Formats: sequence, C-alpha cells, structure tokens
Amino acid sequence: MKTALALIALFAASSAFAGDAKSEITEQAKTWAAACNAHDVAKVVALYDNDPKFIYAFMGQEGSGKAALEGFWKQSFQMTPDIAVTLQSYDVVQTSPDTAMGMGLWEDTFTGPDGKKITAQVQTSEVYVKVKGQWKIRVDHASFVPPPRPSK
Amino acid sequence: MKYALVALALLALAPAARADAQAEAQKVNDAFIAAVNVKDPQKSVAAVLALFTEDAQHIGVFGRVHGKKELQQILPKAFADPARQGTLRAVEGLQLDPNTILAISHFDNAVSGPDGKPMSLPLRCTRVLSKQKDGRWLISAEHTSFGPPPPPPPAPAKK
Repeated sequence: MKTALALIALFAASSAFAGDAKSEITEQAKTWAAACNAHDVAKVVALYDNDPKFIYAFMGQEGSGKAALEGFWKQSFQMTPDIAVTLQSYDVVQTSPDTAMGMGLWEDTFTGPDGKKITAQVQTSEVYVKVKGQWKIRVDHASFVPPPRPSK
Repeated sequence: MKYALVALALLALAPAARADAQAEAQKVNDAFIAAVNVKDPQKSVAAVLALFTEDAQHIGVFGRVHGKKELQQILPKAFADPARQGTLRAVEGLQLDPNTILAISHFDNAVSGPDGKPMSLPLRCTRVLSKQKDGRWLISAEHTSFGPPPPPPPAPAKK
C-alpha cells in the first residue's frame, strides 16, 4: 500500500513537472519576444545558458558563446532598428526531466534596405536545458517557413 | 576521502560521456545519410523512419511535422527524386543529460533542380537524440534549414 501511494505521488509529481516545463518554457519564449522587441540585448542574452549555440539560417549566421550572441543581436538591432517579433504559436516537447525543445512560429517585421516594410514568417527551435532550476536556451535555431506543401 | 574519490571518478567519466555523445551523434547522422542514399525510395523512407521515435517532431524543410505517421506521409514524395543524394559534412554531439544528446550536423542534399539537373542544397540540422530502453539513440525532435556552414575559423598566426 505504501509503495502504491509512493508510486502515485511520483506519477503526480512527474505529470506536474511536465506541465510546469511546458508553461515555464512558453513563458520564456514570451519573455524572449518582449526582450527582443525592447531591443534589450542583455535581457535576450540572459535567457541563454553559458555556452549557447545559435543558427540563424535566414541571416546566414551561425556561432557559439555568449559574446558572439551578444554581438549578433547588437548588430541586428543596429541594422534593423524597427524590427519587431510576434509569437504566433509555441509547442514544447519535453525530452527528459532537464531537457526540452521549444518550437515556435513567429512573424518578424522590419524595414528593408530599400525602405519597404518586410514581413517574414520564421520558425524556430530552442533546445532548453535546466540550469540551477531555470530553463536556459542551449541551442537556438531559426529559419524561414517553407512554402506550404501542395495538397494531395 | 570517499567524496574525493567519487569526485575523481565523476571527473574521469565526464570526457567519456562527451566522447560517447560525439560517437552516437556521428552514428545516427551516418545512419541517416546512408538511409537517404538507399536507391529504392520505399526502402530509403523505411530506413529513415526507423531512426525516429514514434512521436518525433520535425521543423524545417517540411514545415512543421508532428509524429512519425505524418513524416511517413511526406517523405515518399521527396524521396521519389532519383537525384537524391546526401553527403554528411560535419557533426557535433553534445551530451545534455545521460539520456539526451544534441547533434548539430551539416550536410549537402542533392536534388533535381527546376531544369531537371541535379543541384546541391547545403543543409544544417539540430537533432535531439533520446536514449531508448533498448539502448538505441533515436531522433525525438529536429530542425533542418538551408544554408551553408560558416567559414572555418582563421588559422592562428605563426610567431
């Protein structure tokens, strides 16, 4: 009986944990969007772990380390001073108690070099790891949304 | 003293874990490319699907795909291309925890271009590999995108 109760408690704890991960990471994505829209490089970079890797395919950028990430965002905000991102949807797949992948669909708007407003659909995946009880982005990968698949 | 020995043992195991992550990431990506390069499209799709978990998530060149069943519906069309040929360029494996490895790979994917001639597309992929009960590592989530790998870092200046 004691074992059964312990198992039930463990199951309940693990279910609650999974639920927490999803809501915590989704909140992180919203925090990331707010920091990005405020062009606050320090707040953006604070959401990553100490040795992050990033792949921003739509800008041909790939790098690792907090300094490189900080440099990338500083340059991006200088080049596109009106860039704004809108989170459209976000899924979280928890792959283990301390790792998860967030998958987001975003709309980015900014003014192009010719002065015209550009709207781009961007898909992202963020691999999260739990560091001292907090979810941090280990790898950030973003790319353009491909054209829709033709219907059968 | 006991704690010091445990700490030493853990330190000794850390590089081994990293080496395993690299080896396993390489193994899964080699298997992926080998599967892509199987000439028979049906066998090729089956070999690729065998590398994914049932609930694997894909984001990237096929848009957003939820689960192996959805992937199974999409792959046959892409794999019907006779020019299909994958070449693995680089793999990096990172151990996230004992049951999770992150693999970052660069590979070229040859496909038939609009003019019918083969063209090569540089792709990069981040994959979450999850350890199964039988010890195999399968892809549980991945993101693939177009784009060449970054240039290699400059060689250190000679003194």
